[in-house]
Amino acid sequence: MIRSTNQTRNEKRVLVCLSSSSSNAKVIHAAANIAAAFGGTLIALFVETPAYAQISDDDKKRLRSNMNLAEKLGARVDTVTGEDVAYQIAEYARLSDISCVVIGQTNTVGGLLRRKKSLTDRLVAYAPDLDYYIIPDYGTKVFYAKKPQNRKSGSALRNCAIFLAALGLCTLVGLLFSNLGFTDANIIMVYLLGLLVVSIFTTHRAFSLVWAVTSVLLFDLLFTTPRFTFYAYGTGYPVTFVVMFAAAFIISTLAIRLKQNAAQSAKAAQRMSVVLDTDRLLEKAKTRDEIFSVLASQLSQLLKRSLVIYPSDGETLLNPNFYPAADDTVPYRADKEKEAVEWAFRQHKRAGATTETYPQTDYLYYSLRIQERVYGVVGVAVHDSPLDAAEQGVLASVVGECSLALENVQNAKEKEESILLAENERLRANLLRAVSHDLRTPLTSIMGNADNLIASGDTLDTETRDQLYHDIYYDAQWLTGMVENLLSASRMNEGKLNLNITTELMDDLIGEAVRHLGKRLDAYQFEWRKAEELLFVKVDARLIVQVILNLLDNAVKYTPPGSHIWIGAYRDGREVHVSVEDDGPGIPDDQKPRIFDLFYSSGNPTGDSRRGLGVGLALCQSILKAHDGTITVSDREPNGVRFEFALPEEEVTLHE
Amino acid sequence: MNKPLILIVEDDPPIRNLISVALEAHDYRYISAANAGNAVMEAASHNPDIMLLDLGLPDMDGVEVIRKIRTWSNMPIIVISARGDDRDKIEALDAGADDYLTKPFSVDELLARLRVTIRRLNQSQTDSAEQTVFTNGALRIDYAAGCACLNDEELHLTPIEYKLLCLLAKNCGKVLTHNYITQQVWGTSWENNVASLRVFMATLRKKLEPESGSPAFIQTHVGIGYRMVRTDN
Repeated sequence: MIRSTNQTRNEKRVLVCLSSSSSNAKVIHAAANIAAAFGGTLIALFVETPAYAQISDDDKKRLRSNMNLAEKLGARVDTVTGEDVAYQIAEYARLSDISCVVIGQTNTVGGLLRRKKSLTDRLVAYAPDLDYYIIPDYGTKVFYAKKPQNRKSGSALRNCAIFLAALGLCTLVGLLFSNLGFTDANIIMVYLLGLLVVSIFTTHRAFSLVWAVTSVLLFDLLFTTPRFTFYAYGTGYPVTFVVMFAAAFIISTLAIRLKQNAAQSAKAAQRMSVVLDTDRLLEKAKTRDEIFSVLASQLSQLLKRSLVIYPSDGETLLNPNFYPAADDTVPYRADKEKEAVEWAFRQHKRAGATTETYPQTDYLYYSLRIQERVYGVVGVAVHDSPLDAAEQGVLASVVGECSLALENVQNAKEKEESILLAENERLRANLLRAVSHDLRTPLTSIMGNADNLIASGDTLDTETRDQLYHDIYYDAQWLTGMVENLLSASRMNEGKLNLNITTELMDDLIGEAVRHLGKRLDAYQFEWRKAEELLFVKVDARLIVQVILNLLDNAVKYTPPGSHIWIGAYRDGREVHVSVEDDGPGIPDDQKPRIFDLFYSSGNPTGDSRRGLGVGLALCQSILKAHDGTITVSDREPNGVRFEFALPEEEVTLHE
Repeated sequence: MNKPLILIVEDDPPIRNLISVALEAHDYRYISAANAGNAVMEAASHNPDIMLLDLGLPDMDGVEVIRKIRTWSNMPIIVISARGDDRDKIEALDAGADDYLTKPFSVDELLARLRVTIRRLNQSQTDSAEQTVFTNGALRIDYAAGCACLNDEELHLTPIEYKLLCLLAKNCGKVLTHNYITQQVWGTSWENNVASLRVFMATLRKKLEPESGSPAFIQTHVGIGYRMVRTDN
């Protein structure tokens, strides 16, 4: 999305840092006040550190309630991951054009020798040009990464096995080296190597520290003189112990961090790939249903939880679709969830489990919306394991992407509808003009001629009288044709849904049109080349008959009596073609592109003449458009004109 | 047969006048009624041979009139309807009308329909009710033997084609709606059956009318149905 820079410059963006601290609420309130005072927007940021995975459930709960609070106060909640909280905040602030940062000062590191640099100090160092508002935060418990308490016994056993195996192996190698007369330094190296292995392959720091103690003791016991005692004569040995212990501590810390980072970046990479995949899939999705299925598949892949999606028609929610996760056996209880779903739909906010609205439900609901338009609600099973901050972040982003895609589909649809509506409106307006203007001419002629006959029929000679009779008949016939076209046009205006679509044999339709034209064809050399095979089309019979009638009518109108007129249907690929040809004067090339325009009439560009009122061909074209067909005009060799229209062929299955 | 008596039921005076003038000019006897009530009364008291019935009457739906008449009389009824929807025509035909004319119609068209109907009346007078053989020009159907011949050559028809042919022959001159035919032949009137009906009708016609110059036995009424016409001189 491209935002104008001016707009962002004028608008203050206030960033508040979220934490699981209970006093964080105070900070958030303060930040909201500051944002309100500036008339700016509030953004709440949580930096997920590797240690986050290990914090207690209470802390997680507090963090969630802080997030909810921020949201309630109108903040946009965002999550980033990284180890260095200060650096992440500074980076985020730089990228998001943040002008001021509100942060709680957890001043607990009153060190003995030297105060450790606080978060704020480091933040200021990273981003010196931001405004900072520091909310004092004394006397509250600071969150530290808690030591993991419950390890699975399986992994503990495995850790012990690794530990003992490594210890045994190192000691054996150490004994071997000792027998071979290698120096102690080599043996220490072996133990250090063992330490590295244990740090990497066990999941707990305790093993590394125990290793440090054990290996020092073993070294002392087995390799220093006097052997098999814990005495060490060499003055350098205590130093060795200390170094060994310190090395163990540092290596284990690094190894654990390495593992956590690897796990976290793997997870982040997976999330990132889901988000990227979503973009790619949404690009391909063309319909609402396709978008919903992309949403479902991406979220299932990402969260591995059950999903429920309620599509919406804009006014109400429709029946939900369920996407249960493989391991989820809890049935979906629609009655229990109903209110939360409705709330998410009506209030355009998240609701349900882990939020403050309807927290008793099993699912967490997000609405798929762009501004005021809601396209549906998606629910994610929470049960008893709440989503972590990063999951929520990616979930919100996938939901946002899908909403945008739905909006695009909706916009495209509306645009298409409005074009169609405008097109129909144009046709209707033009037809009205035709009715009011062009019908007058034949009506005047009929009225005038009848008037003459009534008033002075006796005094007119037979020839004149006959001429008047024929004029009346001709004009009435013309009006009839016009009315047929108007009726067809009005049916077209009612929209595609009102067409009476049936499977029809093309020759039947041609026959109907020919029959309708009746005696008017008698003056011409008319030939109907019937198709050998049965050609079926799925059409509104009346309208297609009208098309054929108009084409034949034009041929009769624009060619002198005695000319040839041919009509025939044939198959071309998956289409049925019908051609109407004559060997009359033809249509000049410069007029061909315009003959399908409304009210274009050949030879009579202006004036009141009704001859060739250009409704017929324009109507033919819109009828064929409505049937996914086409109509073309070309020259017939050596002279004359050839109209041809094509419709998709329909296959018929027989019921014997 | 004497000159047939025709009952014109039409509420619009100019149209009634137009039909009367046309009938008079061609030596038909006629009576007329301007509304449904009069129409039923005239039909009952004069027992006309043919009825021309406008569907848009002020006091009663034309289809209702047909149902009433059909309770006691089989007189041919030709309905006249304004152009637009085919549904009213189909409804009238299903209620028992024999044929239809669409406004605006020419006098030629009107007279042609009357000729067809009168020929049918004459034919049904000469035919006995329990006829086992049907002939129409070169077409001959032997109901008892279950076979049809064209120019004395047996037609090779599928069971459905034969069923259709018999149905049309037994209602020769009458327009049968798609719905009616599918009901009679398949027992249901699914859209699929209507599409199938098109195919069977087309193949049947190909067999009955092998060359483009052959006389047409079956008329297609697009959007409405089919009718067998007399091809005798």
